[in-house]
Amino acid sequence: MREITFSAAIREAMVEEMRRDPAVFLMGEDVGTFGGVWGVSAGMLEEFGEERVRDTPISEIAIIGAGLGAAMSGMRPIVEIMFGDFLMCAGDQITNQVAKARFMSGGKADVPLTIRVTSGAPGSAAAQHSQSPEAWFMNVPGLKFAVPASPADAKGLLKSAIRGEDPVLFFEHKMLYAVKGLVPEDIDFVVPFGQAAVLREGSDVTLIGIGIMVRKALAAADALAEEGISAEVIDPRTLVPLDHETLIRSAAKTGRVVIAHEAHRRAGPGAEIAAMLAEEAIEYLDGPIVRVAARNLPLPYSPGLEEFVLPSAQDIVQAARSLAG
Amino acid sequence: MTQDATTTDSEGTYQVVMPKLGLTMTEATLVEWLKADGEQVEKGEPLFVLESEKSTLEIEAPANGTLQILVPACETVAVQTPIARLIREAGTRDRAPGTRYQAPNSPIPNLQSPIPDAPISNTQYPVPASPQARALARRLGISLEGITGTGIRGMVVAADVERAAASAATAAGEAGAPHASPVARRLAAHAGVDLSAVVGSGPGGRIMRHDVEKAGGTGPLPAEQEPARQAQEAIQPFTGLRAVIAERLSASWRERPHVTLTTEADATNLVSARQQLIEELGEKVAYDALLVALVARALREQPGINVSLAERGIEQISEINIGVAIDTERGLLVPVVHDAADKNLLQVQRTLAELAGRARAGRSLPDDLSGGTFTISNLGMFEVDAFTPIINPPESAILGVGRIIAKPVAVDRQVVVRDTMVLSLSFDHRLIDGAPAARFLQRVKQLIERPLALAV
Repeated sequence: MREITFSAAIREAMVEEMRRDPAVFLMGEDVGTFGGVWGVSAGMLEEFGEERVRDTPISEIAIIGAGLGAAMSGMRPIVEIMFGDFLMCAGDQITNQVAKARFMSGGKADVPLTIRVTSGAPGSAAAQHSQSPEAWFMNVPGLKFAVPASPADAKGLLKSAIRGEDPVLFFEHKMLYAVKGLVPEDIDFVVPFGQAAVLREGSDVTLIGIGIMVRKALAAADALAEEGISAEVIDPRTLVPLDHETLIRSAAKTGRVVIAHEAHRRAGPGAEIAAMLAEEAIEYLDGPIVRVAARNLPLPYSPGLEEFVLPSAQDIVQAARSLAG
Repeated sequence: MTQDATTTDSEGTYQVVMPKLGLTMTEATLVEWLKADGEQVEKGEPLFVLESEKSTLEIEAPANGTLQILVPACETVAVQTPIARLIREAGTRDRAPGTRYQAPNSPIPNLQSPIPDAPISNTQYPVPASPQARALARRLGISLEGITGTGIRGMVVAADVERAAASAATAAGEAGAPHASPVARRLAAHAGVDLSAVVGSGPGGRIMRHDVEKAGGTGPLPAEQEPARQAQEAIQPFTGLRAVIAERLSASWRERPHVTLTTEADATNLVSARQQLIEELGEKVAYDALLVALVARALREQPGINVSLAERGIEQISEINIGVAIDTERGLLVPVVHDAADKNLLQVQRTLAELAGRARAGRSLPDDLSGGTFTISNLGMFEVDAFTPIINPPESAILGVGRIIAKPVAVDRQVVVRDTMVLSLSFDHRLIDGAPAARFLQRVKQLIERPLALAV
């Protein structure tokens, strides 16, 4: 294993899968000549050519619709949506076509479509370029959701998504692209969906982090340890399917749960996890399930205001302290 | 369980009730009022002492007010019985009960904390507590009332309950009743150790097992009292066939007045007849097959034994279906030879062999094990002489068969050696009188002694 960035891990997964399987190709705004607005697909056009690394017009509905058609005709497309904020431009394609094709065809159509979405607040990108839109679509059956938080998980989950037969919304937080971590070189290294990772064991409180908040939960756990509070940190890694068992086991062990995500608090992914725990594990809880999330406000441009709206490691510390202190 | 020790009316007067402090607690004795009737009481002050079957506890005043005693000291009352009122003067209420939280109209609520404030006032609801704290309180038999919550929004959390339990234990200890674990208590009683002289090392000074052992209560507890770890490891789930057997036998033993008659039959001719049959047929013939055929004959002659208690009365069963109890790896099974009286000996033998084979292989057909009207239980192969079998419901009688053993008996006042066998007939005395049962057993004995009767 060697240390590479989250961004390089994603590129490595795409490149390896495209070398391995000619049905895999990449399509999206500026993914070719420009190498991706976040630089993720740099160099791929040179290796694979214009047939397999395709620049598209600025039309999310066309990108995802074309991806669906390709997927249903035997290809394994990876399509990139430059800003998750604009997923709703392809709302009908995602909710009514991509998610439903298998079912409307009576099970005849596989939809091996991977929709890579950049998400999250990169800092002063304001209300239309900073959102974490996972929960907008979690209510729609037929889609899977990956929210990697480390380079290794990004590579392993992306390979699972590409090799799988179901449509996947794959969320890449912009502030994770430069994060480095150890990533296996094995071409068949995959991370299965529906398996949470226990990143740190603890006994007093469970911190469930989603996406970038996994890193903040780990930082919070360090701070809590100094106060004598032992925090367990769990990364669900995929929101659908969700690993109930690992979450329930941890909730039962600590009796206290904090869920942290950068998506807005109201009806965010944490609401689903909290409801699941309330339904399936309330007897173990020694206090309310607390969500640490973006306030229910459009994300401001002003750095000071943005900081106020976004959840921080300190917010997690405070929530954990109020439960376990 | 109700955690509430109090209720309140619209005037803010608290009704103090006898609290229910444990799942099994139904009543308690009000040992002492710690405040006088008419005295002004502050919330949290010791108010009265109660004694339940498990402990003596001091209960704090749940609210401010003037005490009006409803139940005098030394009375025993049921839990939830009102025992006093705490009357609050007009205008002293700190907040109106039932005041509801108003959702703010602003689209930007809750800017300060991710943890919402209490959405409703707590005055008219049970003590706010976490699910884990509630479960713990229930398990420890502690009321949540009066416990100061340190959790979010002041809710009582598990640690608060543990603290309250420890301080209650200390209080109980100071009051003279030693606070000890059940095992410690049993060990102390067994070894004659005075618990009041033992210093407890457990939570809140609780006397634990090793404290008693240190104080001289050495040696193991009597086996039946010791919840030994080994025994727990050997526990198997009480389910499936075992549970069915248990349920049926318990019901039979509970509901049926059993009487068992015993007699000794001369089995010499039976032994000889079986040997002759084996030589004639060239195949094995089981004693059980002979017994089924003989008993079927006796039942046809004396149908009063072939009865069952049905809802509408004593039902005479026309079919004679004889079950034979057999021991299988799964447990006791009773395959049934249907219409045994209409089968010849060879048919009985072959039917029984098939039934037993399927039962031992765990592949009995549904009909194999149902519809019996009488059961034969043969323990002869285990050298059992006589026993008292339990009737197999819904049947009304069962024949227990002992071993065949050669022994000296008197025949015509001469000692001779004969093969003998003890027969034990258990019958339901509600349906069958002693004399007909005895006649039936006598007839079975005769048929065993004259097995050629089957030929006619």
